[in-house]
Amino acid sequence: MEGELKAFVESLERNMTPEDVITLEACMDCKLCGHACAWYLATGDEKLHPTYKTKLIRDVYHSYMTLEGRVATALGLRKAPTLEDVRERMQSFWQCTACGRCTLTCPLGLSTRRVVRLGRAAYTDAGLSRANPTIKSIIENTENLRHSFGLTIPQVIGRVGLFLQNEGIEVPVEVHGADLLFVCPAAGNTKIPDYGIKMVKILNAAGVSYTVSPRVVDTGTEIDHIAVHHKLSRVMLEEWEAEADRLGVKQILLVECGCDVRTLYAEASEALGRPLKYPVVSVDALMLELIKDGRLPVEPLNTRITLHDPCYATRLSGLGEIFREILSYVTTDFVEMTPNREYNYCCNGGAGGMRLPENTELRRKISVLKANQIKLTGAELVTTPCVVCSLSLEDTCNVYGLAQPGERMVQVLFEVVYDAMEQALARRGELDRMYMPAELIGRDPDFFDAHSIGGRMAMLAHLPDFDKLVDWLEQDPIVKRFAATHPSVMDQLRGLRELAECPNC
Amino acid sequence: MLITLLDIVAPIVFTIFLVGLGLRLGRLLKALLFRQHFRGVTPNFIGAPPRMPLGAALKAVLIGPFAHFHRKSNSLWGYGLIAYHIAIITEVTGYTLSALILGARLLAGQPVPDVARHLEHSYNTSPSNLLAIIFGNGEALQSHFLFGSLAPVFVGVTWVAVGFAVVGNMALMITLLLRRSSAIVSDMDEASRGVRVAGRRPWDRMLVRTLIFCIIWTELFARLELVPGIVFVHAALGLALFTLFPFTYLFHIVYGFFAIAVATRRRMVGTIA
Repeated sequence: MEGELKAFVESLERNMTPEDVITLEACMDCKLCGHACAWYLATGDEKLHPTYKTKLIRDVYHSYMTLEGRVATALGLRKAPTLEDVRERMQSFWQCTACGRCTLTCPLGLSTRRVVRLGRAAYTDAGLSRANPTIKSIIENTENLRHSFGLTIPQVIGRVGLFLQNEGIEVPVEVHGADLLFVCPAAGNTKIPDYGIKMVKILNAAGVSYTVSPRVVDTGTEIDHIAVHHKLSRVMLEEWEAEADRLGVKQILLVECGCDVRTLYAEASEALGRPLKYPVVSVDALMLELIKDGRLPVEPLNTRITLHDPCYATRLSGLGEIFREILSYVTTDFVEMTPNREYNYCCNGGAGGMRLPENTELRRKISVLKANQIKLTGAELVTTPCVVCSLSLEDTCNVYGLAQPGERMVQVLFEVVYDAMEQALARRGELDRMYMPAELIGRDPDFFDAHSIGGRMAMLAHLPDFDKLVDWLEQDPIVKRFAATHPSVMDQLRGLRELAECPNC
Repeated sequence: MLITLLDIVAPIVFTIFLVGLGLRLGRLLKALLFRQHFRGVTPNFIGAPPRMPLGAALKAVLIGPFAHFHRKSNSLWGYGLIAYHIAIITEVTGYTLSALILGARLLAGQPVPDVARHLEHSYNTSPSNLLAIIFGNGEALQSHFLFGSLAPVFVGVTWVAVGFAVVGNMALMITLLLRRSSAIVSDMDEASRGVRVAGRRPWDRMLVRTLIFCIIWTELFARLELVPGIVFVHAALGLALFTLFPFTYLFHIVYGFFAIAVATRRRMVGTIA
């Protein structure tokens, strides 16, 4: 057996749990899982059918991992998959979001999703997945920079700091003993500036005790879900825990990212081989509690809003009802999609669906089902508590003409909460509550300088490559996008440029 | 001749069956012993879904696929599958009960009926006769021996099962012959309106389905006592099914219980897949 195939089989051996053995043994190959899969339904392409993936893993399992299969293969009665077969089917494992909807139609409740993850892990362990440049970059960026998009810590702090300073918002950085550790997923701090602004404003306005870390700037769940690199996933989780230890926080704050939810709810136990050390509080549970307690004032919006249930948060982590409860406080016109909750159709963006550029055309074609769902609600705004879903849905709304040109029809749920909060605070004349976090109020100037975003930006100026960082910020598409609606950020950037040219001024 | 064949083949079939059963279940045992991984949800997850009661989770796993998908996508197949499974579970329970009772009586040294000769008391413990007692448990002679005064109740229940089996298996057979097995023939929801998927007719399904079709009809004829000795044909077909059992999709009958248990556990904690 070739080395890569051997490594593939060994990975399956290593990662296969008794549950996976049951799944592989019990599958009848009835093909009913295809009835739930958007990728298959919208295309009718057999290569997108869930069993196209599971069959390979089942064939490898029966040919190389069972006694009768090995005997039959040796006698020439069975054709064992070759390395070429394994390579040929690789793409199909990433033409799937591992959303788990297939389980809902399986008469035995088998989790095809787990088989897809087994397969992805085997491709990664065997080094085969590195043939895909995006997966390769995710692995290497996470290995080298601990950020799946390849941003360095100064780049993340510089970019978010630029936006925050422009808005006059403060964030507590490295505050020991805060209640919550807030780490933003890579997709959040890379693609959606509002993660660093509106989310922070909500936490500030509600007086939440939290801190951000100057060391951990990615939750690392893309390595868990796109690459399914178990070892690296464990490293990321351990570093997250170690940072929580170092900062002496009480809980980890889980922000609105489907992959983060699933990892912290279920996969972490598998990757770590034990439960996560820290209690986890989802920002949705937190926001709901704050709204109910009156610490986060909200005034319902009159916009007709529909909710997209993220697969990883609702189907795979059971959080669907919290989102609806939040919406009951922040909108007067909520309309359900059909089907909804765990039966909802996937956004087709998660776990690599959107991240891998080669999937774009296919993903858009498949999203006709999602577009139909949205259209049938007649909603003006779609909200979802997942960063990747929001990006994917935004694209779908644009492609299918549901949104007007230039209109942002999709918002992450916290943005809807933010709008309802801003409306309430404006009416009360308390908008200033959003700008200063509880952990920095009343602190002495030295503490403030050491633990505020302004102070951190000043520290960046002493880095030897600060001018390169400013160059990067000037070219950054996210900064440019932000500048389109916040032109004053260019003044902030000019200030940084002057600082870079004259660090001692 | 069929009786002689049954006597020769039955021990071989059961050996194959047991070896196959051992191999396939052995893999689960091995996995439980050597592949044990820590799995479970994060215990201190604030905002975690409330634990679903066992009954509700079981209902979601067993009824959910039919209610949300199969009833809408392919109703003939969906209803047929339910009818067929009601029948098969009742029938298998009946056969198992019969085998246990027969085994107990044999251990107690009691005489058994001789099915071929219609004798109430005999010491004919040949495989063919024992199989005819088990597989012919709905016939007057055998049911009286096995269940005594409760025979009419047992036969009554299994008659209902036979009815379900005939209807259910016919529905499945028709969908298979029309190549509509696993097809989508009507709308599942508004979002996927108009989506249709062609079905299929795999050879292993055809083989097994035809075998089961014959088993059901031979049982019907045996119960109606229309064809003398047909119970032995019924038993022979049953043996064929035993031979195929560990090496075809039929083995889902065994692994299905484990699969449903695992799926139910996942449902209870809100992690559906």
